[in-house]
Amino acid sequence: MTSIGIDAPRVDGPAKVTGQATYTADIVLPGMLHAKVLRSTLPHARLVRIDVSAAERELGVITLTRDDLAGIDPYYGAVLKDQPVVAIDRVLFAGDVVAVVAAESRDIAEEALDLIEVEYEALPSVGDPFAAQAPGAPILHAERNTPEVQFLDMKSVHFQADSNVCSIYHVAQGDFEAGYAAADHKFDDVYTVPTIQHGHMEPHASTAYWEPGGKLVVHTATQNPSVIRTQLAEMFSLPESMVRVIVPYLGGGYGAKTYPKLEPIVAVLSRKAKRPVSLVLTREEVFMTAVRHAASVRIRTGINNDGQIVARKVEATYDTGAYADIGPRTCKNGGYASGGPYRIEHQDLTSYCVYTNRPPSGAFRGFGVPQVCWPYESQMDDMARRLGVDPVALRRQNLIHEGDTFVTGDKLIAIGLDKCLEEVASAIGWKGIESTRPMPSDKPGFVRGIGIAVMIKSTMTPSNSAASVRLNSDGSATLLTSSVEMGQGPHTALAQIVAETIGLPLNRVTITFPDTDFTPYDQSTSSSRTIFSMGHAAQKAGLQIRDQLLEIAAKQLEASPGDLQIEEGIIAVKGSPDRSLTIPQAFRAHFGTPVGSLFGAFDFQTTGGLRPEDGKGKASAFWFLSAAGAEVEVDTRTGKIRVIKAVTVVDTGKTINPRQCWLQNEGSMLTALGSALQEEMVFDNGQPVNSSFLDYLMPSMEDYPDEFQSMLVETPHPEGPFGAKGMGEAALGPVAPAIGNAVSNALGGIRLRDLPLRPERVLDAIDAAAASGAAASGAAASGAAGAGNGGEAAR
Amino acid sequence: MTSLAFDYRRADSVDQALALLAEADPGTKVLAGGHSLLPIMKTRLARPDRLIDIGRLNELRGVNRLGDGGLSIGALTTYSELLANPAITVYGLLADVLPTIGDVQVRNRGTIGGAVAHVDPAADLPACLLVLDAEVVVRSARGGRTIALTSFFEGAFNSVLLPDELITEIRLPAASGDYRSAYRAQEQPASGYALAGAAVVIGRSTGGGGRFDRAAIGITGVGECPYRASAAEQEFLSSGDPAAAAAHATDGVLVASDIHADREYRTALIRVQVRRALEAAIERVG
Ligand SMILES: Cc1cc2nc3c(=O)[nH]c(=O)nc-3n(C[C@H](O)[C@H](O)[C@H](O)COP(=O)(O)OP(=O)(O)OC[C@H]3O[C@@H](n4cnc5c(N)ncnc54)[C@H](O)[C@@H]3O)c2cc1C
Repeated sequence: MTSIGIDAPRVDGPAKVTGQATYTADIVLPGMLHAKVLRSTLPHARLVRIDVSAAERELGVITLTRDDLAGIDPYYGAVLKDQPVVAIDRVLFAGDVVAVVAAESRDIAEEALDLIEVEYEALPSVGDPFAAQAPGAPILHAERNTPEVQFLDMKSVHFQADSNVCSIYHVAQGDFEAGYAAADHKFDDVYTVPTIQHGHMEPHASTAYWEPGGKLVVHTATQNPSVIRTQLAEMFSLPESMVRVIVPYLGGGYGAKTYPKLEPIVAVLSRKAKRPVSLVLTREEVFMTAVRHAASVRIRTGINNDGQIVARKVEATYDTGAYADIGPRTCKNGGYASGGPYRIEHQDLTSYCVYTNRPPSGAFRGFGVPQVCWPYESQMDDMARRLGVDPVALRRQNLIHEGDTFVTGDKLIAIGLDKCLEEVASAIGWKGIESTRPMPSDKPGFVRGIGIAVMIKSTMTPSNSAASVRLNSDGSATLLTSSVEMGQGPHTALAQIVAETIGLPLNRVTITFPDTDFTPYDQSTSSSRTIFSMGHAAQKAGLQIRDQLLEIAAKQLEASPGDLQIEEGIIAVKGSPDRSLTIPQAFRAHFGTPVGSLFGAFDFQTTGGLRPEDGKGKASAFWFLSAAGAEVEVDTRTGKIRVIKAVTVVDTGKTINPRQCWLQNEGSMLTALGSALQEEMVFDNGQPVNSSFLDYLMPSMEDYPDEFQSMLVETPHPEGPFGAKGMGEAALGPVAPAIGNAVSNALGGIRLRDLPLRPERVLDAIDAAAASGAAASGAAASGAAGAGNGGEAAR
Repeated sequence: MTSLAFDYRRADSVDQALALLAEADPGTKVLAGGHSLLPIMKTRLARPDRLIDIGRLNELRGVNRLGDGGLSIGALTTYSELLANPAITVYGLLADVLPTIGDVQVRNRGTIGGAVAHVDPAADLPACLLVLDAEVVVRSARGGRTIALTSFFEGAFNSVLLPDELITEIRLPAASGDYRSAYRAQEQPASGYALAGAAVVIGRSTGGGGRFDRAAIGITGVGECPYRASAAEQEFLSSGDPAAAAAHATDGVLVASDIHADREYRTALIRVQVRRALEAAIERVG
């Protein structure tokens, strides 16, 4: 292979580093107006009165309020249509869209916002999922408006009406109660993670206009143009062919740009304005537009003296915010993964997706799994400590393997998690049980420790990706695809797949940007599915072209197609390089002169789905498997943690581009490090208080570990192109628990269960342990130092 | 958010700046490096209607040695320029603090005069200047005056500087005798501002061994504005014990509490920083 497994340079690199790359906000259309959003100042209120007349009269702006929704379906949403374009009768979070203004400039639009009069009647609000389920809590959405299910996997989700519980997912095997009762040791803990924000560089941005013929055109920073097209078509009762969605480069997405965000707003407003309307959010607004689910997870595990885990029950409660967005799926996927990558006979896993008066939570790299990996991998180390065994050995003993049946009923294939575990242990310098003890630091008051964790995660299943490849007569090829280039590198990696498949030089393959008028359907650029699904479709489409070329050449060279090879754009008889054709020569042979094109096209649908009755079936077309290791230094006097070294290992199936995989792992690691140590959106009476990068603690290069290692193992998947599986978000999940376990080992067994591990919390835990006699600085590193709220000693 | 509209004037000489300031109303602000002023204009916490840009007044830039061995630092000198100047190497705490302020961009733009004038409760440099016995030289169209930094700060974002006055230089006395100093801080990870920072200068007039008879402890990130922890200084002078001194770091101060560090944690944190700064200063000369 010449194009696969190589560090092909990024095709988007030069444009980006020279500032030439075009993003949605760079698009300027003739007559374009600039929009600004008036946002709710209250977390929950009835919208009594809204008066835009002064703004319209004094500044000549065009406004969008609830009075402009006649003739359309004003509600949108990926799973449930519960989110209106602008608030209709109530606002459901501080930051909810109340009105939108379009003006000749952003300054005028902003000025106009001050002239809009809004009268609210404040309503009681709910700030977390438990308050939302308390008796008498205000109900945010009474109904569940489930449209024609576009996503087959959602059939296993149970929607709850007249409750703030939006949906529940449940799956089980064996008999948890009996298994737990009989287990030698019982663990029952609650872990939490807070709301965090993606921090993509490019803010959300969308521009829309209507063509004279009635076609809606939207340029937008989205990860899934096909969904946007469908949702807008439904909103305006248009055929999908009358909605055109065009996506340039995205400046990062991480899930925040999946499903409708600003597109409905600009579409409706440009219809009224009869001019193009552009909306680009400020950073503060980005924090109100999409966030990661906070979660509270109760995890009960029974384990026997011999180290066998026998029973596990998980109840994961996710805060999905004011609107469902893709929350029900996030919670479902987190739900069935919450037992972890272990063989456990008795399992009972439930996840709750709960509405609150907070910004809507949606997709975020890791998709519901980091919230549950944090608990199960932290508890794993506590169990090892209680049993006095090596936590790596304990994992090895309980890990899932090739051919096992997962709790969802999936038959597991291409499972290289055991290899990930061994690689991470050796890279972090794991030395068995002695590695669970604090390591000295040369600075007084500081201690060090190392820790590891593993993870399993599913991908969106079933799902569709279609690709079409066009070979031009000069031997160059174009891949028509709706996969979005948001920095994760599909333009490079898909080109590698097409080049390898047909036998072209890599620089002869060009990838298109999504344009739903021309590029074929793709479900979504998310779920780390592009290489597996779009790569598969592209490979099949490329093979069709290769077959056509071989057939043409076989005639011309008087050989059978099976005796031919194509390399670097030259079709030759194997072993006789002088009997060969260039691609232009093949075109000439076929068409008489080098004109025309050869086509290949393929629509790849992964199969699967879960049954409504028991939540089982086939959850995932392939599984993400990964491990992480961390070495930390803890300042026991201030509680500050520094990650000295981080290691991630991911099973890629087959590595298409090692350098890009390395970068994906690095990005996952840094995102997870931020969530582990410092990131948290803080609210005061429902108001976000740290929606800026001066106060919201994104990790920066200063937080980067002194040493980072990314490793890749390859367990090929039969459906993946060249065996490749997805890998983009795989490394994220285990990083936080690896850090938590390293901290616990550094502190002689002190366990922190709430993220982030802010210095304050660490110091409190050290003080509490010192007060209760447990070891803080390593005196009692014997494994007897069960601390915190867990373990049977506490019960 | 973006800032509200404002009027912009660029001064081409100090005298012109002073003349513009003399006719100014309360809505007028001096613009130096802009790294404190522009962020708060963007969030509209500051809404000046006129900016007087002093950024090109090269006469206010640079470091000069004074006759008595002290230093005169022009108000427009940036952190980076100061850090690169060999004259500061005798002040160990400046070498500690300057590389930790913000990031490269902030250090290339932020000015010493701006840092002093802004009185940010969590800024790093003011605490250091407090223990260096700095003086602030100011000018206005009416004349000039020199103010000891210890009586310059009045509270958060508040100083004795009058609306028509411009800071032109900061003066530091010579680092003489047995002179030891250090700065230690825990940063707010996003901005680099101090959650709790301690600057110390200690020394012995006798030289050699024996007790320290000079101790200055400046604290930032903790109170309304940077302050001298006199109780901690007294304790250190009498016991020589860093930990004992640190216990008094917040005596008489209402310790700040916010999302990055609540009152209890911040109190614990500043004690650690004072202790570490004292321990470090004892260990080194300079
Ligand atoms: C991302 C970021 C990170 C930062 N991190 C840190 C940090 O870690 N530690 C830290 O200490 N600081 C930090 N800062 C703040 C930075 O140090 C200050 O911006 C700088 O010190 C102030 O100088 P300036 O020239 O930028 O002042 P400006 O922003 O221009 O002015 C600030 C104020 O001082 C007034 N002023 C300025 N010069 C004069 C003068 N000569 N006479 C009278 N009034 C004057 C102005 O009118 C204004 O009110 C950070 C800033 C940013 C943006």
